[in-house]
Amino acid sequence: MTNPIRIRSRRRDGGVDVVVLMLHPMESGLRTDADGRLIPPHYIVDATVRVNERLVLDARLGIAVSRDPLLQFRLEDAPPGAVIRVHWRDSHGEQQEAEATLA
Amino acid sequence: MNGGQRYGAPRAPASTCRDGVGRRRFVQSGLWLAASTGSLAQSVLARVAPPAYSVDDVLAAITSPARASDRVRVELPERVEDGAVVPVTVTADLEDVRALYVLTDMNPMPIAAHFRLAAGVAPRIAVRIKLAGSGYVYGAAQRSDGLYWAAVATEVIAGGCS
Repeated sequence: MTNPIRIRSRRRDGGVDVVVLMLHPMESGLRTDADGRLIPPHYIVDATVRVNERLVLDARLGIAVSRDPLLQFRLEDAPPGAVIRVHWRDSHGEQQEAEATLA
Repeated sequence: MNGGQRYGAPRAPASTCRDGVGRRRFVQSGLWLAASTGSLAQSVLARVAPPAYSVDDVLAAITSPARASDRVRVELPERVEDGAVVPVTVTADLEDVRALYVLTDMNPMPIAAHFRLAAGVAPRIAVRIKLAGSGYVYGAAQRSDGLYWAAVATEVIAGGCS
């Protein structure tokens, strides 16, 4: 089973560039299926990023974010080997979490 | 439509959702608030009457003063074939940015996403958003002294109205 959260980091110019991919349908509830029925909404509501347990990014997503949200950000003062933890919660109350070690 | 950076005067929404009644149905269905990006967006929307919103009103409701600024850069394609996946990067050449916002003037919801940043996080975020049609995408950076924003026009061939 593919990990539904993928975290990649690269150290560059004294900081760390991080890419987080969160596999998720991000259904808005506005689309209709082939029979014209509305596909129910199902989307990530919020996502958090922690580095060595410190909250660094608190993201509020929603129906305007594309399927499989891909976030890119940069940490200026995260030490090599720090633990990065990404967590998301969606509109169904489902949650997902993943950890990685920063470059 | 050129993709030039825009600062300054407000502008009417460029187009409605490709799915015609999508915006009106969405508002009437009550999904409007349920689908909002958290309590902040809800409190913002409570002050802005649906269905027609002015992004400038939304910006001012996030925090005032809201100023157009050339210290904020919004990067996205000038022309988009598929509005379902549009990469946007918002960068603020500012110190002590606490939050970054991505907004649009053509979607049912004005705020596409927002991000609270801790100290040590660069004031730059990239995300992929859906665009219902052509129009402006806004990036805004919030600091203790207010909101700084910029907007870029984009032409969307096939709206990602979902």
